[in-house]
Amino acid sequence: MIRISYVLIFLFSFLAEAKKSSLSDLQQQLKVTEQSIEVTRQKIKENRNIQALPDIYMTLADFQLQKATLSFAIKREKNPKASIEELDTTHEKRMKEEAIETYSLVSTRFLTYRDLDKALYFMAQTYSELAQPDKALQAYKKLTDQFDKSSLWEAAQFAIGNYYFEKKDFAFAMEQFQKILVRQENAYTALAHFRIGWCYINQSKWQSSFNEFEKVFNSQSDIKSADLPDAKGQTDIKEEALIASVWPYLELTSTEMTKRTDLVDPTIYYQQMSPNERVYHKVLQRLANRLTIKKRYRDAARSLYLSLQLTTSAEDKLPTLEEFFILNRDQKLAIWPKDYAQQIQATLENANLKTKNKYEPMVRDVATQLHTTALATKRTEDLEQVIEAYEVYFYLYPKNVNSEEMRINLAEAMYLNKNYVQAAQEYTKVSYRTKKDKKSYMNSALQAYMEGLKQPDKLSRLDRLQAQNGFRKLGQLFVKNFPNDSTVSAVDFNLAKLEFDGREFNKARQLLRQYLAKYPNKEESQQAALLLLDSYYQENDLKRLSAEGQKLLSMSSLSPKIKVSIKELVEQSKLKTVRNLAGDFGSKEYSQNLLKFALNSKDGSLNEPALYEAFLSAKSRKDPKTYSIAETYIAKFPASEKSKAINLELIQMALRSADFRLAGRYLEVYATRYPSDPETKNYLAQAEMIYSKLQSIDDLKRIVNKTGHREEITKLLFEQKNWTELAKEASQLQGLSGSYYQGIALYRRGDRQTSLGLLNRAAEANPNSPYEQQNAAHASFIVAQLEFEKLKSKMKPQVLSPALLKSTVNEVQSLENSLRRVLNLQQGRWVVGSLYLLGQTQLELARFFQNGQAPQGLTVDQLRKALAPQIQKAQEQAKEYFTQCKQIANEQKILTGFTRGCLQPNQIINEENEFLVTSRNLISNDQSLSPLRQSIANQSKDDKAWMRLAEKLFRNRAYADSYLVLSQLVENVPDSADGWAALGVVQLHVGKMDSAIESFKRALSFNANQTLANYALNKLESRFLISSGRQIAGRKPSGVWTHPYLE
Amino acid sequence: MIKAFVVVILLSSFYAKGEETSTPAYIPYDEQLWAKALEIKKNKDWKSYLNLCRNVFKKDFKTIEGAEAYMICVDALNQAGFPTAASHIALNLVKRHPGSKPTTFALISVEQAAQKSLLDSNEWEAAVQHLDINEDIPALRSMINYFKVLHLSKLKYTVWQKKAFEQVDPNSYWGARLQFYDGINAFKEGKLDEAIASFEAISKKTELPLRFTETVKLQLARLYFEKKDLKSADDLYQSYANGSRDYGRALLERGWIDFYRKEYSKALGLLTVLKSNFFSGMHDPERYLLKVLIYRELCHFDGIKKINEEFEGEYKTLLDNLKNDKALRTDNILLGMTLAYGNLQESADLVHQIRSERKEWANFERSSAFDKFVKAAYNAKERKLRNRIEYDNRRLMRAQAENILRVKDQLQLVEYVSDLEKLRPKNVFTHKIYEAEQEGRFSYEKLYWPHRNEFWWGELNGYRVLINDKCLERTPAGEKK
Repeated sequence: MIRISYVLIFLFSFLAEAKKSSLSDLQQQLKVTEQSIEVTRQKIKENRNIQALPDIYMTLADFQLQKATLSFAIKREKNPKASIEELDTTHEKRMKEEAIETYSLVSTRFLTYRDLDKALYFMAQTYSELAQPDKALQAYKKLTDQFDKSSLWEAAQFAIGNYYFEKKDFAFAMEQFQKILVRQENAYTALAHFRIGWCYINQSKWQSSFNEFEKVFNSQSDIKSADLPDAKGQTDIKEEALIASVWPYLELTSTEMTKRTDLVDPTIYYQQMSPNERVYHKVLQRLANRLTIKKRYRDAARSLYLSLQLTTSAEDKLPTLEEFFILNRDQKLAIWPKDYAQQIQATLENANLKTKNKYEPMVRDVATQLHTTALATKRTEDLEQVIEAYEVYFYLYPKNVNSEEMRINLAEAMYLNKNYVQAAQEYTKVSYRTKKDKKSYMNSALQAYMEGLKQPDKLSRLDRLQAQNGFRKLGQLFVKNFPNDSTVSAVDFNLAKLEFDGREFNKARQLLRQYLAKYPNKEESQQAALLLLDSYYQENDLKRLSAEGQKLLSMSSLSPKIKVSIKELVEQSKLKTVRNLAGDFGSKEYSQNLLKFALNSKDGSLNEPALYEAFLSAKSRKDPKTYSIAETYIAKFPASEKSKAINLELIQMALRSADFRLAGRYLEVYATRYPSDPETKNYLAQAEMIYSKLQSIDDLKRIVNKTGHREEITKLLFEQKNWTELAKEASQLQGLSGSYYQGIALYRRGDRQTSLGLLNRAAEANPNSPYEQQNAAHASFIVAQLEFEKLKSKMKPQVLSPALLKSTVNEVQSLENSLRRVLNLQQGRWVVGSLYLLGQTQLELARFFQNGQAPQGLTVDQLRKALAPQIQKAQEQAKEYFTQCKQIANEQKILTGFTRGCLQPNQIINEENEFLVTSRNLISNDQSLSPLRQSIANQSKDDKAWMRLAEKLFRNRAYADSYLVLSQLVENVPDSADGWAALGVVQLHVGKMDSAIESFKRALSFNANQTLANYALNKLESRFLISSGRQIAGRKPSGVWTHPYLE
Repeated sequence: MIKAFVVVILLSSFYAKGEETSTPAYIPYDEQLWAKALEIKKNKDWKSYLNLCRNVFKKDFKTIEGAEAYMICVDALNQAGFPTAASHIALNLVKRHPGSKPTTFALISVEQAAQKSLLDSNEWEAAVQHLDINEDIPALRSMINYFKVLHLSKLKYTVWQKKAFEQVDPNSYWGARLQFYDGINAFKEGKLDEAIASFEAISKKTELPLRFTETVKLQLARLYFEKKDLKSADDLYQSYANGSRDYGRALLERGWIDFYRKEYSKALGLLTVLKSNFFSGMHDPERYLLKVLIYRELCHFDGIKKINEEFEGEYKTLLDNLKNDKALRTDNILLGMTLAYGNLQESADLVHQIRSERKEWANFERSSAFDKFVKAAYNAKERKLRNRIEYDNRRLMRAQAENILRVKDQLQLVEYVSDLEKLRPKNVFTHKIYEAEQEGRFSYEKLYWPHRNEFWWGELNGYRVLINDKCLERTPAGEKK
């Protein structure tokens, strides 16, 4: 019977799709059904077999329901434009009531009928369809009471639960659903969990609700509601549970969240839980919605953006893009995803003109906002993003009223990004199209061309070609149109230089002569004169070179400084002439002539062998003058092959005598002279390491320009707390570290808005090394600290309205989430710091409740009483955080100021103090160091000699030099406990606290009684309130090795 | 009992399988229309099929009957050889009636056509959300999941990407395309052997469209060349289909192989073939580079200057345009080169396909709403594609221009080095690397083209340029004997 009913249901649904328009078919079906009813009634009348009667009654009820369904379908076909509510269904209701009567008759007259449960179930269902829930409930209850083994028991019990759910009696409804869970797992188990989850939501029991939903979507069994006898549609119940779980997830308290590390980031959690991208997309939309309600705008925007990326169709992308844009703009979130421009392009490129134009202000706003950010950071990646945004803008809006302004912006971004030639081309376009400020844009274009042409080797062939021609064309036009402009001289000079670079010497000479006649004393005049003479040199026409030189020297308008240079050049040309005149290379006269010339010249080439001999002799005698002789040689004869060998010898000598500063310089000279030598890379790395340890910024900068390891500079600037330089330097650094260092620098300088964006970026980037992890943790901590400060400023004594209480609690939760992200990075001091800040947050929340004023209609006492549990909870929570903080710091021996904050919560701890102040390093020129160095050079394994040198340098306050010497000592003699201990002290001076602790520990590993290491460790641990646990108490040692922390 | 029987019949007809095992039979909404369509299809009378579409096509297709008419039009256009228009209509259907039966059948028609012609991958990838239907249609599984893989790989959702990837039949056209991308990615990562394995696996598959297998062959030949397996590379180049757009490139690359094998006359023969009218659209500057290198190897130093002059002549306008920042917008040679050598080749081929279809459409065109719709679709599609190409091309064109300037510099360098070598005595050229051809079918200066300045496909291997080794003639004083 049941089987036939389902078949009929399928038939109707099939008819509804495939034969939708065949009204006549439906009418025919109705006729057949009516006839079937008549036949069945007749059968009942005539039937004498009492056992078959209930089956026939059940068939009759089925036909009666079928008749109602067909009749309704015909009405709909006849009135296609009317809504369901508008149709009069009295007749169909009557038919269904007849079916109920039939089922009722079966249930009361045939008490032993085998399918009595089904009669009750269908009766209940029909009551539900007729909107008579109370009667349906009675039938369902009768079924569950009397037919415990029925296959319909779970369905009926579920319907009972639903009845109370609809009545909002959630506690009782939950009891009903739980009865299903007690039974063996069945098709309704997941549904029951799902409903219970909703009951908990309605009771604000978030953790329980979330757990119930999790049980559904983590269930291993493949349950689809379509499999259920009720046929609730095609939606996957797991999918529904996943989406429903978003609400309770976002309401979980921090304590609840702490227990589950996988819940830190909702977008990651739900990505892992979603079976496919379609479901994830739905969850993201839900997340965005709930997060916006909870005012967690940053997280909401992130969810929206992920959803935007996942959406492929432009129609669906548009509202999401708009929502993201508005949220980002209105909440000043400064979130600039890397593929923002591409997403805009994908969303709008196929839109119709009207839609496109509607969103023009949005696209323009995005591009200009990005521009503003890039102007502040000056980072390559930001500038490239801006350029792309403008390019997308022009792709979508090739011509409109804002084109000119946007093109100027594009040109500016290109210029800042060092795309000089393309910037110039964009400025040129603007200058041709605009009527006002023509001169200014032409000027900008020329400046950009000139900037590019300053380093032609860095330009591509195409850029070089276009720069030369573009500059020539525009430059001539500019000089013609604006002859009196102050920049004309520079343009004139560069026009001449262009011809020189293109080896068009005749043209170049003509232009250079004109230039010198017109501008004899400009900045470029000297260069113009030298180029003019050089043009002859290039053609090996020394005679005309001298003649032109004499002409220039006779010009009274030329400055004496220029004339000196001209004289030198003329002299050099004479030298070449002399060499030419010296005759054949193999002849006796040649050497004599040149020797004679060399004796009178500072730059004579024939003193090379003599100088080399001098070097060899000095070296063999270990004469200290060896250095100066060798330096003279390599300076005078850079191209000589011997120069290379001498340079290598100098490096070795300096390293052997522990004169690292000198070694660095020689390594650098070698790298500059022989860039393609296979060893150069290693030497540069050595020089970089030396300068970095010596904290010599200027030297390091030169090296880094060759190695590209800009991060070394930023590390050093960070240690030296040189924020202005760091901000500038870090802007050239890519990735997490770049954002971090620039963010920190700007933050320390007080530019909170720009720094927040950068620190956020660093915090959200994926760290690729422990070092980056540390930076990410610090960045995340500062972001959280800023959030804390903002929140604290809001939590002043004020009237505590329910809305204010709710929004404050939400914000506290958001801050806690931020801090939990820091905890997740597991970086010692920032873990302790985060626990300290978590405790502070709870204390602030408790104070906020305590100091709040009562809203209207409530007395102060009533308010205090109402809030007392919350205050107590916050205080307890704070205490718990502080206890954890102290415990972790002690267990893991983390030396941080935050431990004090956790012990004495009234003390405000500044994260900046986490970084040691480096001692001022002096460069020692003490002559008495030479014998010590010599002694090391003779005995490299003599640790006492090394110690003497390090001590001497330390006394002279050359801490960085001493640091390098001691580093080398422990490398040469790894078990030198005294060396390690001294190194630890020096490391404190150069701002490396963690390394210092490590060195003290190494010292003790070789000698457990090493006095200095024991003392230093005890002192440091007590300074940071960490209990020592060491058996041997440290005595204050005598000697030079000390630091303010050890006093 | 009677009712149950009716139901059984209906059910069995609904789920009856079609002729192909993976394609379900279609249950029409308008039975008469569908019967007519089947009859026409049976007779392969595509003009009548298009007329049937014209009769039922309405711009507004909100109803399921309207969708069915669209489906018939998609199939009619595909059968009649207008796959781009068919794809356009199918996309409309996919967006308006996702998951409906007419949409499913329109998609099956598109899937089959896509194997013979080009499909706008970007557009279909953008429609992937609408393709994500609950019902699993085996005939569409590979295509739908192929576009899913493309989409998810860009977002790096690897788990779901893998799931979609596993749904693509590796033996299908779509599976082969994914394998092709695997090969390209392996090459980009410098894993040549992996790349070769991917392309070789595709080559072994039969029943893939020729257009696609020839592209794979070209990639494979280049990889062999990279690995210095000149024989395998040459074998592939020799079997390359001659009607292809890349045929000129393949010949040039064969020329390089011959150069490395020191078969200079063969290489020069191929370069001369590239001068025929058939290859007038080919502007690869490397032709000149290859030629000067051969001349240098054979000590024909005086000829090098002439070749460089030829180069300057051919690219004069382009070089002038480059200087004046005009070329990147207007120069057709540069545009052609960029499209032929960049990632946008498929888009450019699609524009070509649209133009050919539109031209062909003129033979079928009537003055109906459907015809207007198709024409407008072609025009809009071409405009859109061209805009996109122009935008995506902006950086590629600069790179291509840079390449021409690079070749120019190299040619000048070879000329300079050759001028120096002219001065060197004979004994420097001790390597006897080349034996000049003693006879050939053509003399060096006067080449005879058998068919109106064209060449015979089958005879390419026989084309030689008879050139003697001048290095052997040189005396120690640098003078001729």
